[in-house]
Amino acid sequence: MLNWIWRLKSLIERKRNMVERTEELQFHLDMEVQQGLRMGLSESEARRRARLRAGLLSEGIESTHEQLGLRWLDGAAADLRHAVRSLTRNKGFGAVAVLVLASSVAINTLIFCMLQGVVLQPLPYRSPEQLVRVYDSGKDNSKFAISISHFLDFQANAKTIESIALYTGRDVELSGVAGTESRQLSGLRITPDYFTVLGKPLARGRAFANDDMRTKNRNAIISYRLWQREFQSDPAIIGRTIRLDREPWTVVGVAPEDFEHVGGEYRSPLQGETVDIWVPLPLDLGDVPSGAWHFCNAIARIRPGVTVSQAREELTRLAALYAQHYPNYGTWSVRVEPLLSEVTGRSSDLVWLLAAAGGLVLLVACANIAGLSMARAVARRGELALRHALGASRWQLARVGLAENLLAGFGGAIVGLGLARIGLPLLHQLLPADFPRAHAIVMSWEAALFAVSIAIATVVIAGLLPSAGRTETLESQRATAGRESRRLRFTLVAGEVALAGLLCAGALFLLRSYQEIGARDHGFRADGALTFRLTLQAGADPKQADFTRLYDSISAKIREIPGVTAVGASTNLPWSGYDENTSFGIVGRVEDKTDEPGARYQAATPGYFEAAGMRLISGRFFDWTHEALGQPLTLIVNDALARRYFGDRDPVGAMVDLAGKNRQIVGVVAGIRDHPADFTVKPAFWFPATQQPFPDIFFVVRTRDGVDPTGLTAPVAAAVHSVDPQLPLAEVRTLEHRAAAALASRRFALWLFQSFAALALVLAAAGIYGLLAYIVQQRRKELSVRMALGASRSDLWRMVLGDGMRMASSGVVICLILVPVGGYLLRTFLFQVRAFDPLTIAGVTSALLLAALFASLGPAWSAMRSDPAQALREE
Amino acid sequence: MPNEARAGVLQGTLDLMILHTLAGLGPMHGYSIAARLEQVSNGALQLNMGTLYPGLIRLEAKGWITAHWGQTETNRRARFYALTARGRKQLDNERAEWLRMAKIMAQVLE
Repeated sequence: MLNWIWRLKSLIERKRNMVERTEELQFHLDMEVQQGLRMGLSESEARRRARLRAGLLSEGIESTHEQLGLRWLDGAAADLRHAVRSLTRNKGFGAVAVLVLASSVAINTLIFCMLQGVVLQPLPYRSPEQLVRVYDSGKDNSKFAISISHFLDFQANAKTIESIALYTGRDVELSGVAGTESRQLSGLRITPDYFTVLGKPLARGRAFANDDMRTKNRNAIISYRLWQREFQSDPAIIGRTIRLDREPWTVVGVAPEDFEHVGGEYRSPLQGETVDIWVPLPLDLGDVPSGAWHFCNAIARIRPGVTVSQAREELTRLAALYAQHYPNYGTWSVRVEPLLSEVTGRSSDLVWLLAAAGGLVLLVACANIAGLSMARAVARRGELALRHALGASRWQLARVGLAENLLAGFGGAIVGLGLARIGLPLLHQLLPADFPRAHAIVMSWEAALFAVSIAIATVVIAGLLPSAGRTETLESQRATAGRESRRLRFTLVAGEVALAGLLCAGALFLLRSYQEIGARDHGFRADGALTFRLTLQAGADPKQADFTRLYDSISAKIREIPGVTAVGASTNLPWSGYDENTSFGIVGRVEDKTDEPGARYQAATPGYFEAAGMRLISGRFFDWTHEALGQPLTLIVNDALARRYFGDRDPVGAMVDLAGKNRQIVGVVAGIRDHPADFTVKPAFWFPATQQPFPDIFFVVRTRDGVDPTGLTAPVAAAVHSVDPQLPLAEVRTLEHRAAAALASRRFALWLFQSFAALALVLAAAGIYGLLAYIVQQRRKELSVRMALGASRSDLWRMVLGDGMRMASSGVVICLILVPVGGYLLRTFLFQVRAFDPLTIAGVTSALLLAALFASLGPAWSAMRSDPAQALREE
Repeated sequence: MPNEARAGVLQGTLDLMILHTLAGLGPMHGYSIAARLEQVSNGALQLNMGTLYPGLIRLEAKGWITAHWGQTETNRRARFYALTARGRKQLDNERAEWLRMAKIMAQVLE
């Protein structure tokens, strides 16, 4: 230890150390000489004797330096100095290498940040690996909302799980504190163990108890952030009364600071700090059989030492037992999945895919820098030969090039990190709004370390690759020198072209998929419509008529705004991933109990279908007269439901049994997929919200062509407030914006792939250009001889272009072999595009050949213009 | 050179000899250490600079001796080496060990 500290010190004080050591040795020699003189020897004899006894000064210095460990450093410092000198002289090489490296390092660092934040970093809960989501699982939907009875059963009887909790979204209106405007809060209904399961004790107050799980309960837990912002960290917050949905509630707890909600599939905010308030989930559903209700997400903690598959096995067994006892509730099994994979889900596939693409870009950059290094080595052939002749070992020669590359590597890492730092906020803007754990994507020191390591690894590999071709560079000035290294560079360039082509193919695959999706009949019109969400308030004991009146008057007020052509409300909007289902019966048909008809159930007010731009296939839309409260119950179905349960028959007029009440189908509309890229439309129906009201509802306002819907925000808000002055409008945005959000992750992947492909293509073109320019330079004598012998300028032009095309076409061939593999890896992101898509293949081929042609023009031009006389004179 | 053959044996024991010399005579510069060793060995030990100074660096790095610049009797600047407390402990251990080994060697070879 001491040894090392001492050595480090001597390294730091290296300059002084070297001077002093030399002085010490000189002193020793002088003393020897004086001793000789004292013995009566002549001056020169004394010196001879001193050298004989003490050795040469230079040998002494050498061996002390060796002992001090400075010799290695002397060499390294010299290499570095040499590299700095040489790079400043050849700014071109330095700048290109740094730039090439920096761009690919930046891309890969950003991807690393995503990978780290989204996939690798553990979730912020106690022992997150023991957390699982629990779903009910049926024949049509393997991940369905869990029923409350399953939850109660598992909570009481499952031995493999430590605790389990239910939760489901419930947004609430918080009345303004001290005169401020009321606002919509993102809320969550939970069962008592929610915080316990996650291992996050509350910051203040208490969690809910079993007694709280009643409909009439008015206790709430608020988020730390809400406590700080809205209540100025009031120390007496526990027990304080706040007004939620215009009723008094009592704050019983404050959630821990930085608490992140776990996210969920069914009416749940995303994972992250997305919840403002937690309220009890009532379990006293009265006469409603809880087994039939599926609207909750479940999170459970498995016991330490128990595996996910053991828990899965036990819960499946319990569910089977339950199904035997209560056959009326359908045969539901369960599904148990680790939380992390449920949270990251498809995004983790996307991130890994991007990581692979980023890796390809880095490979192209590596090949590019290798080509540059080789060109440098060949350009320095004379110098290296001289150094070799002067006794430099092969390793010492290689070190010079390596030092140069390392220097460029550090430069690339630093510039790349800077670019990544700039790119990070940009990446956040591009990220889809619902991208899981987007908040965890930050620059970290691990990312910085990663950037430096990949930069160094790239330049070292790039520096060592050409060493195969370097041997011949020592053999001085043969006229045909460089064939060996040219072949290697040719291979490198062809490889670059192939990889760039692969990335282009990926980008084209994604582009074609995106276009295919865009070109489909979506069943609604996204443009020219404004949407917002309301949670209607109709007093403590609302009646159906109260809500119906609110729908009616709000719609009527909005319709009065000039430019509005239609307005309506629905429980959900297109492409929202809405997924709530119910079973139903068709009157007059004997149903097989194990194959009950099921469909997405939704509610809509009159005017909604027109406002959303949906297409009527037969029958009619809802209207305020037919669907008024007290009129016969009605239903509108989509074409998928009609096909699935009525075949070719028009279902209009048919009666459907829904929750014990008969409803008549009055219309069939064109279906809308749950997600834009879904292959099929799920059977779905709407009942009139006027007959069965929902307080939580989305409004859609369609404007006349040419009227910008966002321009109507203020008048629409005014119209709503003229009915209820306190009612906050949440999530005000255009339908187009919502539709785009549903495609955001595809657009994100597409955008990134396009930029990767563009970068790789530029790098490959630069590689072709570099090699051709080098070849032309190398072959100037040959070209001159050819010209002297009668070759025309266009012959030379063709020759160089031909070289370029040969490189590109070898690359294209390799690329086309790889494309189906790429298509296979991309398959989950593709839509109606095959791996052998002819358009993609044609596109890639022409892109590569064009890039190659473009890159060859310069060198071909200079070959054509070379003056034979001058080239020959130079020899 | 006459001492070349003995250099190998000396390598391992050079440390011990330097430490012993410094322990007996107090702070000394490199030349006088070499002169002293030559003297007590009756000319059998001639250390050249390439052997002596790396040895001194080694001992310094181990923390057994320290060095500082001072003046000689003839008013020249020279680097003086002195034993540290750790160095003295090391010397005692090494010396005892060496004497024990020498005794055993003598017994074996007799």
